[in-house]
Amino acid sequence: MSGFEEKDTPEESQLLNCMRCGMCLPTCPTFQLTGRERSSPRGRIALMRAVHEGALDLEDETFAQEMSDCLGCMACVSACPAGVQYGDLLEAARDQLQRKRVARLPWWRNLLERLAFLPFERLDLLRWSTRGLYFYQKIGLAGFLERRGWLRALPFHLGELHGLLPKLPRRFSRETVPPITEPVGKQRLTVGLPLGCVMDVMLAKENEATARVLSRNGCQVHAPRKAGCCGALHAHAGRLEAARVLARQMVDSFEDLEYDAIAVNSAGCGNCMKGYGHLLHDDPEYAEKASLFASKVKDVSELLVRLEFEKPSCPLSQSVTYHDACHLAHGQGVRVPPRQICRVVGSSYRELPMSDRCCGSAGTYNVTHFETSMELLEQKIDELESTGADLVGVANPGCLLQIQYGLRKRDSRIRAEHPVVFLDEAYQASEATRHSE
Amino acid sequence: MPTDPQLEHLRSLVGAQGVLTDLAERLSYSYDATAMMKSTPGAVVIPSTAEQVAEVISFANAEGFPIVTRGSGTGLSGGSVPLENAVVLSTLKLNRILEIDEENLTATVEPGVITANLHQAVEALGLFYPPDPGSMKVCTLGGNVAENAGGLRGLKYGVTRDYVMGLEVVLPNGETMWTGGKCPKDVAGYDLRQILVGSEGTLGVFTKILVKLVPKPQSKKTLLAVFPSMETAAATVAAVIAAKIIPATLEFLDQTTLRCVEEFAGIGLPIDAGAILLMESDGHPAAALEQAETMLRLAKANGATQVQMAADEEEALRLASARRMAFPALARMRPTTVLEDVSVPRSRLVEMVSRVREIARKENLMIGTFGHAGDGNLHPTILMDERDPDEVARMHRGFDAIVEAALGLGGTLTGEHGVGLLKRDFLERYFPKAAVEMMRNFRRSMDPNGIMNPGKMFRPAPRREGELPRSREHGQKVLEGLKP
Repeated sequence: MSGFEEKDTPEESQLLNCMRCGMCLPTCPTFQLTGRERSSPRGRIALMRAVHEGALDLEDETFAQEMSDCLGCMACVSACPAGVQYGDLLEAARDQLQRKRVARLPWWRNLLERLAFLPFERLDLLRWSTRGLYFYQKIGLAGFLERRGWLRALPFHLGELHGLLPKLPRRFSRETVPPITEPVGKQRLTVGLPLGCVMDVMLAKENEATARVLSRNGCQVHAPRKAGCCGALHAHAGRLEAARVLARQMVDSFEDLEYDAIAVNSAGCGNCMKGYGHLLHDDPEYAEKASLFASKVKDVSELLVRLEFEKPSCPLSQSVTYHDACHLAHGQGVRVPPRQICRVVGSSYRELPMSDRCCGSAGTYNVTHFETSMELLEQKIDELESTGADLVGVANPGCLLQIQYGLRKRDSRIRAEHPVVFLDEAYQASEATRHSE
Repeated sequence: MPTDPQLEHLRSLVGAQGVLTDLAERLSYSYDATAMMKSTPGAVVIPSTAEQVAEVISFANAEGFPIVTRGSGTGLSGGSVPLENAVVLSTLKLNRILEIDEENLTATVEPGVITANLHQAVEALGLFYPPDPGSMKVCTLGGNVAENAGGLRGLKYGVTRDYVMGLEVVLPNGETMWTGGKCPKDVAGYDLRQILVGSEGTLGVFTKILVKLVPKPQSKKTLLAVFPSMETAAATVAAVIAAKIIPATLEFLDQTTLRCVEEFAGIGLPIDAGAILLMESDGHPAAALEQAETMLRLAKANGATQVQMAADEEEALRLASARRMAFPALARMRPTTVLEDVSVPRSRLVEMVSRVREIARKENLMIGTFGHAGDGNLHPTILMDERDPDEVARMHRGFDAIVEAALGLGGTLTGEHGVGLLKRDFLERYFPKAAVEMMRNFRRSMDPNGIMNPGKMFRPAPRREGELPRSREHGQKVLEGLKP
């Protein structure tokens, strides 16, 4: 009598596992903003259970709203004494709703949504459109429109979202990161590096730094061209079937390689790829391959710490702090390794208060829930300013773009980068001093 | 269930945003942290001032619809589960710390203040509010007072009751009353404050709480001792008390619990051990150290196979993690976690733990026991699957047997979770008839219309004169007798 439809249902045993102790409440950003039980993880699980038990309709508006309002930041997963896998529950519930929605929406809305996700499945489309945006910025049209204030008149916060767009790199990382980067010195590990989708076209610098830093620490880095989007955005939005297609492609793209680890520099992607075993567990052909692949996935910081990475002899002259990306701290439980990097790249290290509270980026949340997202961003920037640090390490592309936008808007002197970029800069500074000596 | 005009009036009192009626909204207020209990409220009202609370209660009393007060919903006896389609009154918006009086060592707070937030605020001034229920990061002071919450520091520092000096309460007729004050000595009249503490939302809604503070202990020493049996651990507890030491913390884990902890966290506990004790002393550094050293010696003398004293704060946290992990580790074992809360005199603790073991064996239940060895309050935790009717039946039998065993050993129904819904059927086994009657009468005189948290603490009163049926057969007989 479950209100959910057979495939990809929120697992009953997980729903029962929630003992409603409420330990998640103080960690949940949306509960802290609204103070309403339904916007808490405990409330959301109760609603899922009500749907499962037939007490609430799957198409109930509040239910759909709540499943969409959740940031998916997984702070509740860190706090949960009973180990409830909230992330899996949320993705399943969203998938259920998504299927209902597709059946209900007019054809043109479905087409639009399909188009929004298409570039991540067809990377040539993503590259063409980013190239377009690059020239749009390059010829000064973006700056012109912004200065004129014409963008403010646009609907759906498009004007503000325009500001979120970073200055795009001239070249994609697949044009700059070689297919194989040989290790400096003796080879210690063979590492696969997926260049990704957004990382490839918008954050090429981060991919380049990752390859350089890993090679410097004894890794032979393979960056196969066919490794594209990992499917995290799809899974997060409740498009599990689409995510599975991408997951299979990702697993396949490393098939020819005897790798020791898959290095990931995007927390959201790492979290998704570490979960491939679960995502593909019903696929007889891929279940085993996917689990094996997932077991090798490591955040780049985890890998560097395992390799006892070289400390830069001449660190940057500024003080550093670190923001915990949700999908790294809560999703993967990786908190210490990125701090170990941030501690040695600058002149001093300062801890950020509430460092593991979501910055509001949360995948596409800043597009779909602009106001809430900005409220969380403001809090984050206030806390960053309160540390007095000059640099902030941010290990996830979504958070990085969001926090860079927040800092830009405030004219802050703080610079946000991926920790690996700081490490790369510190290595280069060390090199430069060595040469000048 | 409130009617539409009633809801309309409630909206006029607290604003449209403060009244929730949507089904999904109401479902999310249908439970607290008690296993297998839920009941959907008729509406949820969220006032933001004490005056609004009074207006809402006064209206409910006039119209005769029931009210259930709710803080963070972390209660473990079903106290804030809204029966009879009651209206839930949330105190979460009344969340200001109004005053910290450093001269009189008191704090005045609103009921929705989170306990840990008060801890933080007073500790920043070198002061201390000792009650520390397990849910302190989430639970509210209003809820703590209503349930008379305890915690790990109960043995040395007492429980919530020992810290409440004054209360502002909205009575069931909507009138606001103040009782108590900042004078440590105050013997004027009946102590109404004390009957309000632990009244489980049946006598009114607190709108201001005045609590006592004490100076923060300067230092703390933490010990973790491993024992071959529960008996040797209990002998150590007895020896510590005989040595005239009242430890700040004295907590135990039985074998089932420590095995679960080790399986879950892998912190290096020997899984063949019979029990572990976490002991803490606090106070002046020299005194705390001396007490800790004595406890260490006593533990060894009584057969501890392994005793560690933390050298620094970090190690103390590591040692204490074994106790902190107890509940999470147990909760992960099975889908449903039923937490018990009986209390026995300290000297009967070993017997109680072994009774629980027997009950677990007899009913074929998985039960891990941990708790407060110092004050005899233990938490046998039944791990089961609510989807299995046979296991549910065995759980109910085991639950009943545990309560019976505790009462047999001179203990009580509940040490710190309250009676609420979970133990209302047991109240008459603990109290003599006259005491229950007196409590019912008191409640009736305070709340003649029965609007505050109906169905809690007492078994619903019989609708007719005479005896209640005790069993199905007896019920049949009673019905036979009623036939004309």
